[in-house]
Amino acid sequence: VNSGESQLAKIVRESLRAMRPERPVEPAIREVIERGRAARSRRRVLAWGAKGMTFAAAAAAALVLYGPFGSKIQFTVGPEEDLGIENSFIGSELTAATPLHFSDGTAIDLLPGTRARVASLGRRGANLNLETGHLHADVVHKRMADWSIGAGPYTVRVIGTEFDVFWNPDSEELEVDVRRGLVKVTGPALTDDQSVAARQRLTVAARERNATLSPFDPDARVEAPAEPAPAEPAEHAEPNASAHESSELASPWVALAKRGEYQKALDAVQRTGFDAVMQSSSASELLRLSDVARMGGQPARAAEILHVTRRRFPRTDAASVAAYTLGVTAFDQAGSYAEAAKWFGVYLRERPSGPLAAEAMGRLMEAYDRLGRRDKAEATARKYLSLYPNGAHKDVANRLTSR
Amino acid sequence: VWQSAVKARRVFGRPKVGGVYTAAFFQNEAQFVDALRAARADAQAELFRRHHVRVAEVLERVLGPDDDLPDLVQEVFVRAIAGAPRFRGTTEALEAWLVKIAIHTARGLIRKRRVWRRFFSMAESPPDVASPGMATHEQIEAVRRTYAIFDRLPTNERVALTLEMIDEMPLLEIAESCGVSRSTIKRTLHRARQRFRTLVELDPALRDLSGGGAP
Repeated sequence: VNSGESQLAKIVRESLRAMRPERPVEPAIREVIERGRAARSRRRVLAWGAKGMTFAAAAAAALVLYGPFGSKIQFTVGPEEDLGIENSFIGSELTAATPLHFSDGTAIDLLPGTRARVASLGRRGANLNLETGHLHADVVHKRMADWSIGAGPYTVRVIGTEFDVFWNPDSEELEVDVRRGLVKVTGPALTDDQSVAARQRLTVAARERNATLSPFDPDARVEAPAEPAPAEPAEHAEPNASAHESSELASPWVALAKRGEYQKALDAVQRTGFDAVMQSSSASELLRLSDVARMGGQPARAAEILHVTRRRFPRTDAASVAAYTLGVTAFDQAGSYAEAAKWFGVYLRERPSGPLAAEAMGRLMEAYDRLGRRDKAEATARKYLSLYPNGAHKDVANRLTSR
Repeated sequence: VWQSAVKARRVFGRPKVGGVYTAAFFQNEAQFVDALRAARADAQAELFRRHHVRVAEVLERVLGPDDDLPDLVQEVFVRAIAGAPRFRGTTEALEAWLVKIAIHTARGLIRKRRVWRRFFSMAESPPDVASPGMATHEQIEAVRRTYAIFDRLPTNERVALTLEMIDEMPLLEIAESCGVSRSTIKRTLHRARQRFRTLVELDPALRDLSGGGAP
């Protein structure tokens, strides 16, 4: 600042001082203090308001995420997109895959000869129980998605990924091929949660307590075997099996059944005579024939064939599978829970640690529950949880035991 | 409804002025600062008594004569009272802290008024001097013309130059009060002085008062 500017500044300073009116201090003090108090109260109210709004927003977000809003996922079955029913049995044909489409965009294909059921549906996913066979799943990735595939004693947990699951209850072998994403598998022979990443294959042989994780080329996988796994029970214990294998009488309908032409297969058996076929077929053929009858819309005939199987091949694996199948038919198709409980009980007595024991015990528990026999349902649930803590029916079992 | 309205008025409205805050006696300065932080009314009254003259002086020198000055002084102290719990200095630092708040308040007001002028397409006019007090006509004219020139400077330059020229504040203190570095304030002041001199040259009355711009 030069001297001229200093001179001007001095004039301005003195002028401002001269222009300044005298003001009393005390009223100004009172006003400042009152204004300060009002500002503090206003800030407090605004702070509480902000806290309240934050809390309300958090509560609203929690309600949206976890609250009882939104509907459960729905699904359709087959190319005709029939509305799927929770906990009902779904069997794909022997020659064609059965697609399941879920309302969240997830698609699961049950490849030929596969048996499964959608055990439970939730708002963020579903639990599917693979009884036997091969499924291909493409689960849509969503935050907090809750999908799981049960296969015997194994559970495959999914967030969002594409993968295949093979389960053979007879040999108790599981294979999980992950194409993309990540899944976690729990069950016997696995320590804790076994993660299977993209392009990895997990193979588990439950009997040998052996699990291997190996690289997997998604493009190299060929079609799943057309030969169905379900209707092929172990035959090593069948006393007269060799005598009845590949009988001439059975041949025509077996070929038709393999092509998925159930009605024609039943007509062929009818022409030959049911009694003759039932008396001459092997145990495995009888189990297949019962499947054909059931899929051909003749549940009574299917039940009759299963009873014949039990009479002709007592104390064999086939007889026990027949008992289990009678239970499933009574449960799913006839809604006869007492009958179902009887047959599941028979299977469990005959094969307490058989490949279908977990599923039989789970269904027995559910049958008791639907019959209103709380004590038995609860006792079975406790036993189920102790034997299969990660089994497909664990949610129902937990509900029954906590009641 | 009436009760709610009364309550809302109590919380949000302008409170009634009442009560007398007597001069406080604190045993030592630390106790005074503690009482201020604790929002005690006697300490707040004491703060006003000690520093209101300096705060008014700074505001007046930055803004020029202004009818809103008493309100602005109060505004500075209300802000100070609100921020007192966060004040970590001693009583010696209180005045600098209040000056800083005053400069911040003045700068905000200048910017707000500029936005209003631009928004309503108002022409920049020399400030009115409504409270002449004991000043002569020549003094009033000198102030009016000088602040008309300050009004044409960018806000930061105006604040820095008024503090340097009119308030005679040391350079370091200006930098601290404006919250910038010493080199930044030097550059700002250099630009402000050049602009000011150019504008003074265009005003014959001010040119005469400043002695024709002699160094």
